[in-house]
Amino acid sequence: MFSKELLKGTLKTIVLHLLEEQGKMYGYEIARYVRERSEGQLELTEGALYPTLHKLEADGLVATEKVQVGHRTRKYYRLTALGTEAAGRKREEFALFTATMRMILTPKWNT
Amino acid sequence: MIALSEHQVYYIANRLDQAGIDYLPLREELLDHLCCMVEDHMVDGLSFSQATHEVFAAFGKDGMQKLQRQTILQLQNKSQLMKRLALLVLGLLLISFTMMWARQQDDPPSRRPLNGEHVVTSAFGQRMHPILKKHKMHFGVDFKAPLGTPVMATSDGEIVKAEFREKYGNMIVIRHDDTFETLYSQLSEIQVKVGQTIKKGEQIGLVGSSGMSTGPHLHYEVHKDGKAVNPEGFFGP
Repeated sequence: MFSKELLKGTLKTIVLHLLEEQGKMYGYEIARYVRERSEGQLELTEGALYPTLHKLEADGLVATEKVQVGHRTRKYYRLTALGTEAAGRKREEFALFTATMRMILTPKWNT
Repeated sequence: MIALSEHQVYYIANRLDQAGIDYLPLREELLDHLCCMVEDHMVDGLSFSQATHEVFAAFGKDGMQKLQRQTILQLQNKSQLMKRLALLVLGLLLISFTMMWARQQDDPPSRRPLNGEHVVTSAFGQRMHPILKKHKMHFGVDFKAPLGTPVMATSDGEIVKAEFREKYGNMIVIRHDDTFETLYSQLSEIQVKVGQTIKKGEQIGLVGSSGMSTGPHLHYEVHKDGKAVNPEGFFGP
């Protein structure tokens, strides 16, 4: 498990990326998908996931759709144009960030 | 693939209500989430009651309440919070200004009606009337002053009376606010009109002896809430 701080900074990036890749997803599906794809390394808690989803919706990055499934209602999320743009931006930013971190954390040999 | 029955979904919804989840946009979604978790546990071989127990235990006693709080808090972004704070500060300022204004409005008339030192020939209270030769209440203060000495308003206000009365002679009444009125009488000349607004220190008339009087003086009264009070109690240093 990774620290809360690390996850907090990357959760939006993960959600936006998955929605762009998968089209539409619901909350539980996102959590399960992340767990499986990260081979159990990344566990999204409900307490982190749902506040983020609701925030993305309020900011207009995702749109929602309700579907009746069995005896309950399921809320699906998908990206808006604004969200697609944000997904790309977040991915680039994170790629640059990891590259930078590697530059800093790689041992430097004095020749 | 296991799908919960209507009764089972209803049971979980009840548990959500008991946990105090009443924020509807989250409640519906969380219900689906919990049902999915229960179904997954049942696929793994647990009974419905075991699975439900497991799921609710995983959240802990107030884990759901915390989730609800965070979801709502997340939506109130900083600018909204700042707006609320600004509004609150503005409101407090307005209240304090109103109170200051109200206090200023009800300030007693602290200025003296005549410039310079003047002998008080008759103070406020019971006295022997110099003409009637009887004990009578004196509702003001008499300042001895030469004929034609300028008389000044003792506080901001509006002229509500400017007329001649048999005993008072030429007299002026100024209403300052809801609490205070001042009266100036025995004037030789009235220099203001009814309805006129007047500033503290502004000249309104001249000292005289126009009513029941033994010589030039200013008879000055202060009325607080309609009752005559001792004007000398209000004079500043």
